[in-house]
Formats: sequence, structure tokens, C-alpha cells
Amino acid sequence: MPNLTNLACLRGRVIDALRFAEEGSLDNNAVDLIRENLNEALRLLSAVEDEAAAELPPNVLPFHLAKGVH
Amino acid sequence: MQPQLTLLKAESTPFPQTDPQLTLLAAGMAVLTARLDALRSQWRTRWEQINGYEEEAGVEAGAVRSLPSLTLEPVDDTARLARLHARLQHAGRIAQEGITNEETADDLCRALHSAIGDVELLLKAAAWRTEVMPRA
Repeated sequence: MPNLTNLACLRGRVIDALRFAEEGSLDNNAVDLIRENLNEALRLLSAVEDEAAAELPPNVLPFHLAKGVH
Repeated sequence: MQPQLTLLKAESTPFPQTDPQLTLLAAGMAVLTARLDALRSQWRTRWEQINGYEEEAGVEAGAVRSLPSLTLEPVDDTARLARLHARLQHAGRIAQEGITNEETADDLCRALHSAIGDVELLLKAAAWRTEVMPRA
């Protein structure tokens, strides 16, 4: 299950990048800030992906909930 | 298509009333069936919430339904995470290559808006699962 804290931080970074992109100046400073926020967002996303991949439980179901068992 | 829980029905397993152990087992089955019915009702409520999430997030119908599986199968966010990854990389490429005109700026903003939508959806699904299936 994705980590809620990492996801929330990731959302904050993307929102910041969007804010700088929408401000319109798009000078070197703004582009640097966008890049910085996107890099951090990608770092957080990698952490979330690693966690999600590691936490998939084995496919073991209670017999009465397994498909095809009546 | 809505997945369905397969429920055991106590009434479908008639036990001889003369055997105390089987009578006890039948009573246990009745309790279990009632509990499963209650769970099924809860799942239906959650199902309606998920449909609401989809509409709110503007994603294609059924995209979220595979996440909180009604058969308690492993939940896999891989596809949505990969899509988010691709959007962020696209935005990063635009920023890296330079925002030279209004078109690229719009492209960047679109990618970021879509990425935020993906994150919102992941957050809602994760919060939903935390609530429904808390860790032991």
C-alpha cells in the first residue's frame, strides 16, 4: 500500500511545480524551481513504488472467499 | 462488472438436530453468515464511494475498481504509479529541454495537472484501504 505521507509530500511537490509553471514568468529561476520540485517528486514516487512492490501480499484467500468456491 | 462475495449459507447445510456438536456448528455457521452479510453490506457502501472517486477524478470507468478488490485479492497500484511516473518524467523533460513558448508551457501544465489527479486518486485509494483493511 502506498505510503500516505510520501504520497502527500509528492502531491505537494507537483503542486509547487505547477504553481511555478502557471505563474507565467518561466525565467531560468522558475524553471530551476520546477525542475527541483519534479526531481523531488520523482524521488518520492520511486520510494512509493518500491514500497508498493514490496508490500503485495501473497495470493492466499480464505477458502470461502476464493473464486469458484460455493 | 461488480465482483461478488461467495457466501456460505447456513441453511444450505442441514445438520441433524440430534447431534449436539453439529447443532453447535450449525449455530456457528448462522453467526458466520450474518457476519458475512454485514461485511457484504459494508463492501457495497465502499463500492459506491469508489464510484464517486472515479467520477470526481474524471478517470475512465472501472479504473479504481480493480484496486480495492472485493475478493480480498492483493491490491496493486503498479499501473497507476507507472502512469504517474510517465507524466512526471514527461513534465521533467519539458522543463529540462526548455519552455520556449506557450505551447510547451501549456503541455507542462497539463502534465502536472494530470499528475496531481493521479496522486489524488492514489491517496484516496490508500486512505480507503487503510480504513477498510487496517494492518494487524
